[in-house]
Amino acid sequence: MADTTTPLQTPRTRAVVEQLLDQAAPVRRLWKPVARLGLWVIVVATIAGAVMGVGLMRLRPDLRLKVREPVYLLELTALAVAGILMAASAFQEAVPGYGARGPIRRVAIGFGLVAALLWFLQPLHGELAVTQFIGTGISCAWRTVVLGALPLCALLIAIRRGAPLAPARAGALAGGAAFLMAALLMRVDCPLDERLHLLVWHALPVAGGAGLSAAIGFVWLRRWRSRAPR
Amino acid sequence: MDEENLRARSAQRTQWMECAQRGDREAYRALLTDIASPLLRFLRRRIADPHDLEDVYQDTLMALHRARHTYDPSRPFEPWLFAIARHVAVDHFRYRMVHTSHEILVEELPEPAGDADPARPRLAEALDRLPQAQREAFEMLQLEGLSVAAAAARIGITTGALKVRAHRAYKALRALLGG
Repeated sequence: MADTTTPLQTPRTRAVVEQLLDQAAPVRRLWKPVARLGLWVIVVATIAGAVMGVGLMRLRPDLRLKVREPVYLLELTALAVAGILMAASAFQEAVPGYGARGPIRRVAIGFGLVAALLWFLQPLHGELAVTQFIGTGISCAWRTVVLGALPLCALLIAIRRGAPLAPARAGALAGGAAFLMAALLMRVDCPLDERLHLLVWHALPVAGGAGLSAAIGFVWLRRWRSRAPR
Repeated sequence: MDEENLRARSAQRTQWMECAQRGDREAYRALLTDIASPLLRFLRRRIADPHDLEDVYQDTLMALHRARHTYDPSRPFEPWLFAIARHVAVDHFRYRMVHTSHEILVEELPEPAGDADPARPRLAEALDRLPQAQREAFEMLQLEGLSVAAAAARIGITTGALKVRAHRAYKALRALLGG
């Protein structure tokens, strides 16, 4: 026999609907993802300015020469585009049903891979002692983490204001965006153009940061469904 | 003509949702009534059990309510709504898969504990021994007969959290009643 009692007609469903109507207070609408992205880029630029102001980061001495190299410029462009597109994708994750997020994510990952490939094509200096390799590298990795931490917090808080349906993915995108921007800043700071140094101390913190952020997102960004009605 | 109707209806829903975001109760009611049939059709294609369907339907309404500030009236309403509904349905399947794998089907129901052992506390006593949150979950689901979604909505937690509390309550009661 067909089920004629739909959930709409049951007293329990009616009670839920009445409860929601009772809580129908005005809400502050989320800004459009592109506006939120613009604000985040301003936050990142402000952080970069402040970090340079306090001397945590300096411009590499040969920067004037390096910016004439197309490969170096391509590398910086790839990092910037990948970071911004990942942030855009993360903001879209906070809004259910945002259809265009797939292609943006793929393009962002593509640009990130281009940057990694360009690092892979850098010369390999095998003569560097292990202690020297670790000594110089730790500082780069540490500063990448420090530079990425605040933009990541800002991004995660902004995403949490929305309703991310895939919290781990949103977290991973946020981490990728924040640490790619940090890697970009580190490339105008660190004078070492050596393959292993770049792959281990510049690329790995980005990958690790994205992974850690995915875990944070999985736990912290899924709670929008249990939040008190806004 | 049909497409024109659909577009007009979608525009009307967008308008209702926009008003609901401003706190207009009547517009919100109109919206929730209007989306009921398409939402139910959408969920019915994914969920066969009528009780589960009711839970997921109520959960979807609650998720819609909590996410309503994310809706952008310059975009169509339906993709936003069905993305939420799909997410709630998938969550429900995930929960079912995890929990049914721990359940054991038996041919005969076990005998009730009854008065076989007077030392065993009876249900009321056992309930008194449960933590407040677990007792509340048990009472709402088993004594008042509320659905999981309605019970969760009443105390302002997720259905998942409520199910965990209820599961712990059942386990504790089983131990206390010697079942």
